[in-house]
Parts: sequence; structure tokens; C-alpha cells
Amino acid sequence: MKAKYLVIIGLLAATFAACSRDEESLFEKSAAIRAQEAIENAFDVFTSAENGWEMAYFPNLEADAKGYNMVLKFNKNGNVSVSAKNNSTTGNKIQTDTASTWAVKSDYGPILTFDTYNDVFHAFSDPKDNGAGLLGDYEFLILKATPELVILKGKKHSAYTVMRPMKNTDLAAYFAACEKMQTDLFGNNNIVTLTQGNEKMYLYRGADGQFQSAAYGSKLVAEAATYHPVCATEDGIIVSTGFGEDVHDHVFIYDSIKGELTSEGGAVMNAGNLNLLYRSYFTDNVNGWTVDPTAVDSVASFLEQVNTLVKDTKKNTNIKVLGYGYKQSLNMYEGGHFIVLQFGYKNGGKGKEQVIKLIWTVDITVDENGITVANPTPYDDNTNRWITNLPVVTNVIEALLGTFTATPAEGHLFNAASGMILSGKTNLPVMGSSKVSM
Amino acid sequence: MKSLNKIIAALFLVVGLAACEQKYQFTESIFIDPVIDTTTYTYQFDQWLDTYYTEPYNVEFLYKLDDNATDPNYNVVPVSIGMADTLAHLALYLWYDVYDSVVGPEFLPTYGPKMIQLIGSSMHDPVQGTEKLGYAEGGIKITLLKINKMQLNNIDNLNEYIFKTMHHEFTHILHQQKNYPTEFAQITPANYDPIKWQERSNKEAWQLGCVSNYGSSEAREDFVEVIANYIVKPQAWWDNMLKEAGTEGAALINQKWEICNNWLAEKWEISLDDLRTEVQKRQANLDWEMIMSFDEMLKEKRENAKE
Repeated sequence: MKAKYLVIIGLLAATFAACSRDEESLFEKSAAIRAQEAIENAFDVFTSAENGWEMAYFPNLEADAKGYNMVLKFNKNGNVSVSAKNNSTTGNKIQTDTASTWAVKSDYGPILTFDTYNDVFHAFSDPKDNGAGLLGDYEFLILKATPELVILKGKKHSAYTVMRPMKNTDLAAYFAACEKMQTDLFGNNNIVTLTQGNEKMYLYRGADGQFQSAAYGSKLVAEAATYHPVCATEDGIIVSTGFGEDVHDHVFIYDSIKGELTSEGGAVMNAGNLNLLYRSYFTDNVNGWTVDPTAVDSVASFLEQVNTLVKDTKKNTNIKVLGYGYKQSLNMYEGGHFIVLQFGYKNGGKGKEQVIKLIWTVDITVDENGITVANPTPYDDNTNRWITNLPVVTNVIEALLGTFTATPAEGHLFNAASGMILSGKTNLPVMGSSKVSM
Repeated sequence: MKSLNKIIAALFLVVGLAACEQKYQFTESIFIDPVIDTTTYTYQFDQWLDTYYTEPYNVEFLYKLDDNATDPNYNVVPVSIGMADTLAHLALYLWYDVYDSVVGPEFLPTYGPKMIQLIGSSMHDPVQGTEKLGYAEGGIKITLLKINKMQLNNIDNLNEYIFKTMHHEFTHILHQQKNYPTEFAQITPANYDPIKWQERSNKEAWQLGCVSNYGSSEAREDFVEVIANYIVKPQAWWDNMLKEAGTEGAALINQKWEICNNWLAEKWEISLDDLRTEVQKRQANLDWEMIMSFDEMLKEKRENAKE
């Protein structure tokens, strides 16, 4: 009998224990409602940008992929207008198609779809005759949708695409500004140091102005590089993928004075203390900058100083022959900027020519006026000795100082005050006679 | 006492179990009333499709592309609204109203596809070197491809890429509901090559007893190719095909045609020749102004029929 009660009590205990339902839902609303709210939020964000959106569109992540600028206006009635200007799909003219539709729908998360054909937008996803085309997507997972920034991921080809609200509605001005940024930042070979946290790497110009990354301090070997498609915008750049393990931001804003591109998360693309524009121009030229002997104005001030140098050399030293046209250059490297003067000389009429190499470090500053070369400081003991014996050498160096504007098309740095032209060309004729007998 | 104990125990159990009842409350519904939204950009076209397709033919006309509804192995793009509109008008004229006229107005609502999906591009397989122009699934859905590339003033292009595909896929829908005779597949079983059919020219396929190279891929494609080609191609084309096929090839094709003809007549009460005559009469009169206003004529025709 007692056993029976025990069984009953046991059963009751088991029954109540089974009722223990103190698990609380992590979410206040059901998954379906939350999904619907995400869709509505995205819809509101897309339609709320008064001037529409700029889109940095990356069709895919292949090695030769590029980023493309588009401008989109999402209307609440499901209509979308898309404009673009590029060489690949619009013949470098602004093209707009206003007769297609968009929607935000639910799939595995909220999806932005361009579900009827738009001549401008779908030019990137049209498989063309080879079944692939540019491999772009027309359906995107919405990873982030705020009034300031939208991040999308292509559903089929997985490339990230970024949208930001347009500042105004002037399409021509927008595309022109993007092109200028592309030229300024990527017009020449350019090395940028990217820093965030422990991450530090080189970025440099790959195919079609895209970034390639390489380990910091490494030799830049194309084969070893990783491609990072990049899209220049009117105020900086947008990258499709992050860099290394620490850098996940897509948007980098350009500060033309600092010469830095900075992301929201604090990643900095920095080209030392040089404005990227000038930097790209300088570093491209590994041979340094030489006084252009073909430019009369350029040579006059320099020649005057050099002639004095030649006279003083004869007077103050035992050097009998001085070839002053040998080489003088302004060199800029990662970590320092130098002026190097090289002279060939002979101590006697028949002796073997030797080379004197005098080096000064200089400070470089950059602002809207151009690049200013100043404050020459002798770099080594040898240079100091020469200055002591021949103070006029300093005058030669001073003729190379001042503020220069860059003229990349001409391959020049131009000093408007002195008329000095420093050339990046390597095949210049030797200045004056190659050797001067004294 | 014993029974009282039992009752008490039972009551405890009931109370215990009742306590388990989950107090689950349904939240608001996420489903939206499927009435066509009058504020949308495509309202007029959607309303038109409802009037001329969904309501009379019990078919959903899908032109806004959902990538999930396509084969993920292919890259495709949606159809443009303009081309969808043109194709919808063209299909009314050359397909839906043809069956209404030749077979009867109840035929398509009953046996026609329940979904027609349009895709702007083709499905191109660069490895095989093939291009898919349409497909039919489960007897209910037809997908027509490459609609953005329709060349409206090129009758040969339209015939090959659009008209033939419509009838080809629709015949698939029919045989997916009532199978074609098994003896069809026994006529040229050794000549089917599903992998390398594209390496054959049409003439080679004709000589093998098939009406097209695609028809020589497998029996079911062969079956619908006989019907589709017979419907859309002019008699001169058909005669030339039989001539080029040679005696043996022509005999095989004629044998297949007989089976197709009988199958349509017996299983569907459709005269293949009547269908062909009507389609070709309409194809010969490819007046786009008329086609784009064909809906008005249909409306009038239906109103008259009601009276």
C-alpha cells in the first residue's frame, strides 16, 4: 500500500517537474515579426535619402575586378532610377535608366532585389554571350541599413557593395569628382601604409587602379600580392573587402592636407607626411628629381651657383677638373627626403675620374600651394667637410629649395618663384659641358 | 478510501498537466493581403496581367525575377518591364488565343501552365557550349528565357527563340500531364545523345531522324520538337527538312510525326494541322500595333461571347 503512494507521489513529482518552464525568450518579438521589421526598416532607409544614394558597386572579387560608381534613387512605389558613368558599361558617358523596379524581400534575412531589368544596373550582372559577363549580382543580403551607410553582400557572387546618401543631385559633378579622386590617388604608382591596431601593410596600385596589398616592409612583388577592389568616391575611397585581420571598414575619407584616408573604425591609410597626390608622383620616380638643363629659366639660377662653385673649387682645393653636370637630385624615399649632389672630378689632367657624393636631408611639407622643400641639413661627415672647404656648395643646394607644384603630365616639379624645373625624366642631356677644365 | 485516493491522485495529475499548458499568444500576422497595390509603379501592368492572364487562364505571370526560382548554376538577369509587356501581348496573340480558338476556351485554364516566368537572359553553359531558352517544370510552370534579346522585327529570330520555345515548353506541360506513347522513344533510341547533341548540325540530326539537333538529345525533347517545329515553321521549311534528311531520315521523322499527331488528337482532341494553320496565319501577320492592342480585341470578343 505504501509503495502505491510512493508511486503516486513520484508520478506527481515527475509531472510537475516536467512543467518547469522558466526559460525566457531572448527576443521580445517572434522571428517573423523581427524579419518583417528589418524589411520595413531597410525600405524606409532606402527611400528616405532625399538626393538618392551613391553606390560603390563591386561586381565580383576576381583579380581584375573594379569598383564602379552608381547613383540610385529608390522610390516608395517600387520604382528605381540608376545612373552610372564608366568605360566598361556606359561608354564613359552618364547613362540613366528610370524604368525598372526594386524591392526588399525576405529570404535568409532581408534582401534588396532589382527584380526587373535596368539597362544601367544589370549591365554588370548580364551574363552576355559567355554566361558570365562581369559576374555582378542583382540580389543582395542587407548587412547594414542606416541613413548614413548601407552595406550589401551579393547573394550569388558574394562581393560587398556599399551605399551612402548623395550630398546633392548633380550627377555630372559627382562623377567628375569621383574621377578626379581616382586620378589623384591612383594616377601613378603609389605606396600607402595602412595602419590599424597591430595591422600594418603596404597598399599599392594594382591593375586598373585597384589596391594590391603586401606585407609592411616587404619588396613589392606583384605575384605575391592580394587584390582589393577599390572604388574612388567624391570624398575618398570605398573598398569591397577588409585588409588583414583587423581592418574591416569599407569607407575611407580623404584628408587632402594630411594626405590620409581614414575609416570610421580608425584605420588610417597614410603616405608618411606627404600628400598622397604628391607622394604618388614622387615615389614613382626612383631616379629622383634633376634640374632640367633644357629649361633655360631653370638652369640660370642653378648655373650661376655652380659656376661659382667651380671657381671656388679651383681656388680652394687641389681639384683640377670638375664635371658639374654629373648628377644632382632630389630623392624621396619612405622615411626620409634627401638632396644628393654628385660630381665627377680629377685631381690631375690624366687621373681617373672619381665621384663626390654630397647628401643633405631636407624637410618636405605639403599644402594646397604645393610641396615645399626646405631646411637642408648635411647628412654625413663628408658633406660637412665639403661645406667647410667650399661654403658656396650650400648656395647650390639653396637653389634647389622652395615651393614646387607638380605637373604629372609633364613629368615636372615647377618652382614658380625661381623658375626652377626639376624633371623626373631619366634621359636628360647632361647639363652644360660634361666636364669643365680649369 | 481507495477510490478517494485515486480521485485525489487523478486530480493532482490533471492540475499538474494543466499547469503545463503553454500560454502562447500569436503575435500580429506578417502576411499582407494579396490584393494588387494601386500605388505601385507597375500597378497598371499588374492589373492588366490579372485581367488577361490570371483571371481568365488561371495562370500567374511572373516577370519580376526571384533568383531563388532560377537554377543557381547559371547567371541570369531579369526581364525589362517593356519586354515583359511585349511578350505578354505576343503570347496572348500567338499562344493563348490560338488554343482558345482552335481547342476551346476551357482548355488552357484547365491544362495550361499555372505559372509563366520570364527571364531576360538565356542560361548559357560555357562548358557545353549550349544555351537554354526555356524550360517546363512539373506540368505547371513554364520559364521563357532571353526575352530581353527579342528582335521584334526579325521573324526568323522570333520564330527560333520565342514562338518555337513557347510551343516547345507548352508541349512539355501537356506530356507531363498525359504521357506520350512509349513507342516514340523506340524509333531512334540509339541516336539520342544528351551530352554531345550540340556538336551535331541540324542536317545531321535530320538524317538521324530528328527534326532538330536539340531534338536528338533525348526522346522527350525530340517529341516536343516535332510538334513545336511543325507548328511554327512554314511548309517549305518542313519539306526541305524531309528532303535533306534523306529517305531513311524522312521516314523516321514522318513516323514520329504520326505519333505526335495521333497523341494530340486522341489524348487532347487537338488537331495538329488546325493548330499549325492558325499559328502560321497569325505569325504571317506580325503587326506590332495590332498585337499590342490585341487585348482590346480580346475584350470585345469575350464580351460578345457573354452576350
